[in-house]
Amino acid sequence: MGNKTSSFTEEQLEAYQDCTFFTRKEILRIFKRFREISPKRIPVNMKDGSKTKTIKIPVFELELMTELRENPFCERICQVFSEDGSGDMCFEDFLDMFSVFSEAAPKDIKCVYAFRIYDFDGDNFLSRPDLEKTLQCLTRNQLSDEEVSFVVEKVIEEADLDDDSMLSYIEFEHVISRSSDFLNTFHIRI
Amino acid sequence: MDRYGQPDTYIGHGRNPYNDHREQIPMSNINPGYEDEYPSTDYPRHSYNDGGPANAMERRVEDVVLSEQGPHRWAKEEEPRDAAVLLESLPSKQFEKMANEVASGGSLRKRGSKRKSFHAHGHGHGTMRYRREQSEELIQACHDDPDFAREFEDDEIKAMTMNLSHKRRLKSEVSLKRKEPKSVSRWKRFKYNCSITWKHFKYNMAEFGYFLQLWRGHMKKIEGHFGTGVLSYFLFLKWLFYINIPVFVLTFGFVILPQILYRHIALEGKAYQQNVSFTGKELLTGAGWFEQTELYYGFYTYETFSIAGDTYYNMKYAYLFTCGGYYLLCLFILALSISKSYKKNYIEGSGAFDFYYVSRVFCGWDYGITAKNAAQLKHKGISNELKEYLSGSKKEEEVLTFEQKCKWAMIRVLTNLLILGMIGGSGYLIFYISDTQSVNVDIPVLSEMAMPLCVSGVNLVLPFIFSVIARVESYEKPKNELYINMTRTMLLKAVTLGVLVYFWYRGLIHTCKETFIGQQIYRLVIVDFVFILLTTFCVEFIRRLMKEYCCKSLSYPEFEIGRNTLNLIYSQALCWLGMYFAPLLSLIMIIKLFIIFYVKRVSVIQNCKPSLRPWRASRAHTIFMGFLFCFFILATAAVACAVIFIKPSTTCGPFRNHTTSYEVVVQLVDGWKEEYEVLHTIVKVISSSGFIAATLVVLLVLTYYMRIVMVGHKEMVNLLRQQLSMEGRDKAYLLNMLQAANKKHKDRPRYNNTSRLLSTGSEASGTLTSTSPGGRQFVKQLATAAERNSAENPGPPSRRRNRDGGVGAASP
Repeated sequence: MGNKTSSFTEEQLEAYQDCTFFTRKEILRIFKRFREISPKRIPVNMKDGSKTKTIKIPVFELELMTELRENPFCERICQVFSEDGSGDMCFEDFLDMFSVFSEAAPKDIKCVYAFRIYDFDGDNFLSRPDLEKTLQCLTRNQLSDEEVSFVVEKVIEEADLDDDSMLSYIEFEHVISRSSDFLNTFHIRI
Repeated sequence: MDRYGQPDTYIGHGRNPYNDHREQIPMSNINPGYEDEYPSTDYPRHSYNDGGPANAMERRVEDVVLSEQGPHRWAKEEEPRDAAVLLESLPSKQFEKMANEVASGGSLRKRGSKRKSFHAHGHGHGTMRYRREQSEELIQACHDDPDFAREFEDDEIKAMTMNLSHKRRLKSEVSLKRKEPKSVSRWKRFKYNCSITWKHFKYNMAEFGYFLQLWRGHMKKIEGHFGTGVLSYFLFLKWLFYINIPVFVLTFGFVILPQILYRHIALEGKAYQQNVSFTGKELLTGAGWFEQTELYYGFYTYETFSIAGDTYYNMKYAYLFTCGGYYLLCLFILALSISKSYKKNYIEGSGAFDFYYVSRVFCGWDYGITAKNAAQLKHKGISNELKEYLSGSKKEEEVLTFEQKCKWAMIRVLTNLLILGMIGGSGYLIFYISDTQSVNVDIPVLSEMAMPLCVSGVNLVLPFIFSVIARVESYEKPKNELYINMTRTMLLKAVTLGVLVYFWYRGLIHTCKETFIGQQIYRLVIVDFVFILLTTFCVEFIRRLMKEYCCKSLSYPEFEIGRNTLNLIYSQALCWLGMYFAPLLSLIMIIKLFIIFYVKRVSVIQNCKPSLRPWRASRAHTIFMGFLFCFFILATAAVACAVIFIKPSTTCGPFRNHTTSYEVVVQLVDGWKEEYEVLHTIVKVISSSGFIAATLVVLLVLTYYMRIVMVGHKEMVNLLRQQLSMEGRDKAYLLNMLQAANKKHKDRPRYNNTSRLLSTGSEASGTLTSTSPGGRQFVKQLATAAERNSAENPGPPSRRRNRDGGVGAASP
């Protein structure tokens, strides 16, 4: 890792510490991880302010990362956290992503991003196609179509409060905050 | 911008970027009777700059318009603007708009409400992630209004759901504004400086804590291969390890170290007065050479000696109060953990069993899994679980006849009696062996170790029999079976320990009773450790070898989380029980846990495969904490009995001259009578039985009151939920009525739009029933028709003119 002042300025590190849930050492470790994904693209010295925002790793390389490789939602995660929605992430997006997935992040911020991830068409509602797609990603097509639609029906029946056959963010948050497993499972270690 | 402040992304007037790539929204979503093809599953990549419902709706609208989904049954003749106006006039939309205006620094109010509306806007009302414009507005607001900027706390920025680069800019604005010295009172500046110092202190502590992060890489690997279930065992182990460290530090600092110093200073550095030499088997038995060392209670002095000059160190007080101190510390830590865990899993998660499918779908995937086979197994596990539940819910519940119910009740009673009998039998066996202390075996060590071996053997074999019996009982839910098994196992362990404690306290003939008890507990700890290592070796390692080289039909072993965690709890309970009699036991426990971690970690990765069945880690965690707390209370009660009631040995230990160890405290308090009379009276009053009874009564009343409040809240929650679903239906019905009214007025084009909206026609069109999709869908239908119409109509200007002109036309 080297001297901690060799990659970032003090001011940058302090800003990152204030805006994410990480300590300095963790931020440097995450940067090391970021470089490992694509060493040729990312320089060691990121002190110049714009580099952290402009130099991006393309999504096909990100999806090969150990932490994301086996995740059925990895493509969607990259899209949600990248600035332009394409999946290519700069270091700040990368840091943001792991900050949300870290243990210290509170439940509500995780809820927001979970909703975003499962909302495949980006319309702020979890409609039937979104839910079907989520299920298919989860089970890798091991359920028949009929079973998928039955489960989707059940999900909407359980969570939909205002009878519009879709889940808005409020309904999603209401249900997810009742689930004790959510914090445990929505967590990536790095 | 159009008239309503919405950006003009309406009907494809050319440069609409969302035109070609959108997924087709099936009409059957909106319109229940409509049959259409299944939508394409082409999910394009979207940008995230907008996302408010109004825009989404409009995007959908043009989708439907531009798609070739066929004629809409609904309201083709509707005026397009009606729908938009209708939408805008809904109170929920009004609130969002108001929040938007406030965010752009517009009108009114104090800072507090500004921030609150930001938060409400960001978190509560459908727009979940700050759009770029909103972030810009926020940053601009900070720039313009320094007071607003200063209200931001650091933790607020972390928890905001915006992009990291926006957060950085916001933070730099905020800190810039904070540095401006003008118009800030001295008090505020002082507060700000304090908060900055506190923040730096917290960061430094966090950096320091980073070094203490043990085993991070191992945990990551285990989680990657096995998921959060197996990881929870290792986290529990780490947590127990962390608890024992301050206990050991306390004991070492106040009890062991002074004793060592005393031995060197007062006795002029004489070595241990040993008559026996050290042979290897003392490590197992704890007897022999170890007897006259700091390991046991008997070695500690009763004198008040001086370590350095004038200061005197009273070993009696030190021993007793350190004992009380670390039990209190453990109580504090345990109570905090269990209340936190209970709150998280049972109170907040209290409705969770209602949301079975939702939690499976949204919380089903474990994001920490990184190994390919673990991921495949997880996919399979989730599918199996869903399929099982689906088949279970589809099948009708078979109603048991009265006869069958009786039969099952009888079986349950019988098995419970059988199990109680077995537990009683094992208790008697242990009592017998302790009593006679004779097992005619030639191997010398084994006769001394008979009792611990028997205890560990019983703890190994009986739970296995219990699980077989539980399978015979065939519980409906596997969860219940698991909990019943765990309860029975823990009951067995508690009974064995209870029998032993009773035997020891009843009356021992040894010269130094406490050292003897300490030895027995030391042996129990060591044998327990050996058994854990052996079972790991046999169950996991040997089985894997057998699978690979002998019989291929065996399956790979799975890591049994429940059994292993219960073993950990038992070990810790032993440690707590024995700390009074053998102060170094906490160090032994630390070393033991350290070694067990590495053994288990290696064994899990090498030998085991992940399980298909899911393990609800958080629920199980609360239950394990409950067991741990129970055992802690039992251990503390046992030690308290020893301190208060048992007469200490006369030849060894710090309390050899007293009738009970507790007498020391009584003497101390009595000694205050002359010097600190007030303190003395206070202590006398607190320890009187009347006071204790009164405190108990007050606590009971408080508990009852809390329970009543909780029941009331639960009912309220149910009521509100019902109300909410009713509101949705009301909304649908009312919008329905409005639509009918509009339709009616459409036949009279002279009337303006405003009057149309204001009138409430009495006829409700029969096509929408009260069970039809709710308000949003309905409004979309209107908007659908609206947009189609506006595409056909010339364009906004003419309509606008119409509208403006219409105001006057209302009055005759």
